[in-house]
Amino acid sequence: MTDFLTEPAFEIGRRLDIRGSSAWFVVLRPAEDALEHFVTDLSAVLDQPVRVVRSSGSSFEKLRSDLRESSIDPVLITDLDEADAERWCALDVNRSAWLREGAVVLWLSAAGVTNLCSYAPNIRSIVGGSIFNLGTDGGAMTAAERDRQIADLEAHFEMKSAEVIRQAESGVLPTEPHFVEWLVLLGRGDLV
Amino acid sequence: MPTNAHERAKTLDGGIEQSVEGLALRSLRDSVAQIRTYLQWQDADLGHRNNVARILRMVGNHGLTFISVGPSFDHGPTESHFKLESGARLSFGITLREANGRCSLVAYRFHLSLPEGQSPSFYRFDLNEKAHETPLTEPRCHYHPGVDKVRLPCPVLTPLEVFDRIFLVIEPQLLAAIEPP
Repeated sequence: MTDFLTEPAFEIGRRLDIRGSSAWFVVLRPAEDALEHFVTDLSAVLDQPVRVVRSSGSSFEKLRSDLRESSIDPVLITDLDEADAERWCALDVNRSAWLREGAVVLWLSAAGVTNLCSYAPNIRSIVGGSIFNLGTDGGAMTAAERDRQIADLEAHFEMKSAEVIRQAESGVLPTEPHFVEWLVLLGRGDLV
Repeated sequence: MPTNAHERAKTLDGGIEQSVEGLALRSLRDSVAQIRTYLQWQDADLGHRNNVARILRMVGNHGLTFISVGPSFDHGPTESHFKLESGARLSFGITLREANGRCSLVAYRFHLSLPEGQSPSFYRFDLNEKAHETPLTEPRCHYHPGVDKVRLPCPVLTPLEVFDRIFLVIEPQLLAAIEPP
């Protein structure tokens, strides 16, 4: 699973830009809940809202109708991890119900990708190499990165962080952007 | 020096202040996604020489989020800079506030170091957190044309608008200057 491409939102956008709007993708989701962030990122890359569709409990007719409610917008199907072997086989046999002009993105766990590969060979074939690993790096600054930036600020301005807090509390902190950043890095955004 | 220069600068800064207040960004999440996406598209054009997902870092508390690429101060090339085709390198820090369902700009700095031999040696676009007491020399929103202590006023640009000037105005001129016609 580690060999899948990363940066799924951007890569999906780039491939759609090259190939046109109709394509299928699988995003290997991280263990923690990252769906909302991913929908936001993909919507930003595609510059249009991504529609979230659920398939579980839906008849094929309902799924077909949902996917064709608007046939050109990008759709993200989020609950296929719940599909068992029988459901995957049925989805695979009835894959024509899924066909649409807009992109289809399947949001799956590692187990879900395994099930897709095992029980839905036709859908797997449509997806081809467009399987991406979302990963867990959401861009959060590590403690080490934060400490390094604080040390750089202290060295550049020849001022200790305690003094920055004192000046902020007194309302005399310089107005430059670095000082706002400094307070946020110190966890004292309340002083801005 | 004309005696009313400071008054004119204060009037100008007051207009900038109003522009900042009136600037409505999309949600924090949308704003971050737009910034990341902009850099990713630029990087794709560059042949993926930058790992945008790795160099774009965020930290937040008390409703403020600080988004950064590169070091706080440019002392030479680093792995965390965004590198452009011309050899220029970009670092920036943007602080956003999200409160009451509204996302607003608090402050930013965009530092573009130009390749060796280019003049000026850098451009920096700054938005200060609040107005300075002497806006003639330190307007709230300004750019540095290669000199730290020279701050020329400019309209309040959103982060994407700053990117537009860097990637679509400055960078093409740098490329034209270093490549034979």
